[in-house]
Amino acid sequence: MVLLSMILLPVVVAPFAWIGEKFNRDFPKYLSLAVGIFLAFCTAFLIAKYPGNGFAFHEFYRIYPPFDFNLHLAVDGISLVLLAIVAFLAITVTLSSWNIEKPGAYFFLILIFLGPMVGVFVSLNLLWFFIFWEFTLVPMFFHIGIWGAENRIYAAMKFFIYTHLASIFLLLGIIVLYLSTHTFEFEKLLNVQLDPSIAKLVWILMFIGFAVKMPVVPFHTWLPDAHVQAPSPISVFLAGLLLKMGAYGLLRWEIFLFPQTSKFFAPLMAFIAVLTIFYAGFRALAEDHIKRMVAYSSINHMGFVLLGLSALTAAGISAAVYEMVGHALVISLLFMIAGYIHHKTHTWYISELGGIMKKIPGLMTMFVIGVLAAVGLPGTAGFVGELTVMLAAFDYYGWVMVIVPLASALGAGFFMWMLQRAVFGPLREGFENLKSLKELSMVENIPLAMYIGAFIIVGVVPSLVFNLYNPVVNTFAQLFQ
Amino acid sequence: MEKLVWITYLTIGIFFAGSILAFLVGKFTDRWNSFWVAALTGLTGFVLTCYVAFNLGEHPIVHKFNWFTFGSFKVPLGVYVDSLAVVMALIATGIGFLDIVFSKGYMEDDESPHRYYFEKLFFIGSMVGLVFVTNLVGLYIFWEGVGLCSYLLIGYWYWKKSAAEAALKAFVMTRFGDVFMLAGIIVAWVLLGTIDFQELNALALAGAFSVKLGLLISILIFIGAVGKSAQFPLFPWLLDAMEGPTTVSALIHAATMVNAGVYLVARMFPFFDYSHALIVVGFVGALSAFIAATGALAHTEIKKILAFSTMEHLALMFVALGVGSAAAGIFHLMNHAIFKALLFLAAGAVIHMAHHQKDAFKLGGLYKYMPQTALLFLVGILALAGVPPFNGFFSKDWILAATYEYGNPVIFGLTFVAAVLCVAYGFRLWFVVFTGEPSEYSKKAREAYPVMLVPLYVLAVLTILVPFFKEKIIHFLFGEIHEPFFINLLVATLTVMFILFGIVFLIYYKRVISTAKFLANPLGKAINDFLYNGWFVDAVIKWICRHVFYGSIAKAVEWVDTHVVDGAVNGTARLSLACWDRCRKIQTGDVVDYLTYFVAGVLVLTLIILFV
Repeated sequence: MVLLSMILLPVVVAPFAWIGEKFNRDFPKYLSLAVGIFLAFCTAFLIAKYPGNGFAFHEFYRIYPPFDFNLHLAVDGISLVLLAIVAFLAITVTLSSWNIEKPGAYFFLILIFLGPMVGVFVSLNLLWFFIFWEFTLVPMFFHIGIWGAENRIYAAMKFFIYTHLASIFLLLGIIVLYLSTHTFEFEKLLNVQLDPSIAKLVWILMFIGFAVKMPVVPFHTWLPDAHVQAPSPISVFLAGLLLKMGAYGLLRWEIFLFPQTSKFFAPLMAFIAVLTIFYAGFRALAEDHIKRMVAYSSINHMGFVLLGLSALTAAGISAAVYEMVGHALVISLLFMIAGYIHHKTHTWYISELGGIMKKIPGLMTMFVIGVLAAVGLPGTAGFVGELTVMLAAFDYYGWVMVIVPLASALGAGFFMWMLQRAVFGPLREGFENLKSLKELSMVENIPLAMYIGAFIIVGVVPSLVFNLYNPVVNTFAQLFQ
Repeated sequence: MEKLVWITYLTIGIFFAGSILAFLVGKFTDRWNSFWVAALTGLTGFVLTCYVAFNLGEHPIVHKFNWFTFGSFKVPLGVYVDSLAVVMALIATGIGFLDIVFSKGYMEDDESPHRYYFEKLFFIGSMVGLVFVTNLVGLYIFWEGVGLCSYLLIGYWYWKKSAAEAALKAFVMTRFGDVFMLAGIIVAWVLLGTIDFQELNALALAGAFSVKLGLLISILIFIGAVGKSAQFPLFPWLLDAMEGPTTVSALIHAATMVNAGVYLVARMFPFFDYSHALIVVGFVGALSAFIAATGALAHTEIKKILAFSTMEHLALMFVALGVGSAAAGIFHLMNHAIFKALLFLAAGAVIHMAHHQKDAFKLGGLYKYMPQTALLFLVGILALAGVPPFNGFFSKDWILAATYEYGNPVIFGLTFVAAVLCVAYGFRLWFVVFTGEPSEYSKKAREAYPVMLVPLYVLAVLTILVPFFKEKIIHFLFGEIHEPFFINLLVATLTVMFILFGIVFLIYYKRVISTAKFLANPLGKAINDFLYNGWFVDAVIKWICRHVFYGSIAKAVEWVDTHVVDGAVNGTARLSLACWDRCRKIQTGDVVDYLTYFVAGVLVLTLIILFV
């Protein structure tokens, strides 16, 4: 019942947020916070009780057995890690949205987003996976479209149509898969031998769906637009959760299900990954818009995730999952602070900023820490993620992957250059007396401190994450031999 | 766990704990309380290191543990403390402590001493960690840690544009070297199966891998060392790093961090040796030494002259390693750390007392106003120049003898020129700053505070004392070792040094010869500019960054991204809109039109059925 309640509770209480706003403006945010804490408790409970390997906490609800359409929920170590991210970000995003306008509708949408989000990571039925997957799109669309910046309608439409179109490929893949196997169940699909050419077709169709979501070059252009227009807390959901769905889907429903086909396509994935890493890195170098730069850096990190996944070994997959955690924590912090910088200085452009460290040293210190984590400084999750992915990639592909560490210099290049121009140096004219340029309030600082604390803890003690799923990954990795 | 092992861990940990404590104490009580925390931490750390040093027996202190496991990889960490590591740690904590004390005077006007001491202690902790760790990944972790502190401290006065730019340059340039090192670590890890220094060296001694692979790994790792130790071509950051407080330059950019590259090569010496990589180290070192020594001769700022000099001496250490004499290199590292810290701190005293005038030629006659500092500075110069019996003489002469013995004329020639030029630029600096007519800045100066003078005296005494313990130190570090000695080389070196001193004496003290004529000549000026700017390596790197990476590649990607990739996306939208616009026109609402389409369709279908 735990898993079902994690999916249903947020959705069921969601309308109360909307209704409750009329009676008490503060009610929705406390409700959302309570749901976040509930999710965190459930996740902690699951982690504590998790036997260490394989799927656990199976829940099976018959819906329409003839089509094998049943709600089958269960978690393994990998899902647990992602559930932990969902719960963590649910809390931080709620705190970051403490003073949002129209809180009723806003938190209503957040709550109906969280339920399906949990569903995506715990569903073992492919059709339900797809249903949850599609459901997450709707609240996100309204979040961007209503609370976004000037060009929000364009961004929301682009986001919706682009990712929805990609989902159609995913759906096509699912249909072809069902027609050849007559099942949606993960554990049944695992033992099915598909005709290689059909497997390849299914693989490619589903890959398009996942690749757009991750996103990887060249399917990435919806992301910077969506991020730039979205309010910062929603950017956190977008980067921290929505993108993870793509990577998780690729891992769960393609790499684990079709090991041989994945092996066939591995060089393609690796090529796209390396292309993404360098392309996004150079693209960020040319970027003047601070949030867009963070968005490209996010794509750059997702390239590392894909690279890890493409190395079809236990090491590669573990590294990729770890990098997902690191990315969620680090990029969330950077998106939040990029938003605050705009809020306080009324500009997005690095060339119009300068020396703001002098005015807001507390916030900017956190920004510097976040940037250092993003460029992979040891002691943070960024370092462990990059190191493990590079190691796994070199282990699997050999000498071609010796170029990947160079991308790490590129990351240092654009981010540190940005710091030098925007944060350090002499204070820009006109900023001296800018009233809005002041430190954050307590409640705004808490989530930021949480991100920093989390990525340092995870970076210093990586086994906290790795030990959760090492056995699971090792078991699946035998499929590739 | 053995007692010594946990004391080793404690030595590293105490600095990190102290750094946080210093910050908090300074933030929430009087800011200068952070100094007392820092001084106490520094002293405790030094005492602990001494304890480790005295209790270090025949066998090194070893402790290894598994940091984390992923897939088939185990990521190990741990400590390996031998005599080399402990000497490095003594330098870091000893000079670090003196530097903390000196800073009390130097940073007196500072607004945020808690930030300063936080970063400083964090640095010393990382440096001790760097020399104590047992494998390459551990080294890389602390290597980046010291790099971070270097970045933060160069940009300590972050509101200055020049400081922010210098910090950026230091970070990116050293990072550029580091990523090659990271690649090297990964290659070694996957292909050799280990990253532990001792295991790598053992593999090399057993000849367990091909020389070609070893050479590749060595060179990748060496590029990291080149960045960190400011060797050609990744040295311009060190000159710009002088933007930071002088105490930072003394500790990080002279005495400790920049030695990390030398330490790394020394640590992996058998590996480099087996892989035939030492010749590369030797050449890079010799070339860097030459560039730096001539640069120091042409420059006019006190700190930049000393920075060039640091680069030169690091290069001499690389040369020593390159020609196979690790002992000479490490002995010189130690001597250089002491006298260069002395020089930098003395320079700091001068700059602080002369109201932040860094240009040597705008000072002058300072001997009259700060005699103690001047004499202490002179001790440093004598050691730097390699005048007997100061410590610099013994190690530098050893390096020259080893290079001579090695027999490569190019390496020897460049090294020899660089080594003797120390006399020229050293005394030039001293004469210009301390003798002659006092300038307006000099007149305002007065003797440095006792809190600044005491560390200087300690360092000066060490400079004189170290030679007496030379045999013991070398024995402690390397056991029995052969030291080459060539009497004719020694005589030649001293003669050239004496002649150079005479020339400098005539130009800058007696002022009977003028350099103005040389500089007035266009060729002379061109040569001077070329040397002054370190062969324009900085300009070349800047050009590559600006016009190749940013101007060409990044801008091209941006264009492709906007016009091709996103253009295709928006183009799809426009295309579908256009289709809709065209198709819409078919729906006229006129029954006759629809009837026409119907008849036409039926006709076409009939034709197809009939003829296909």
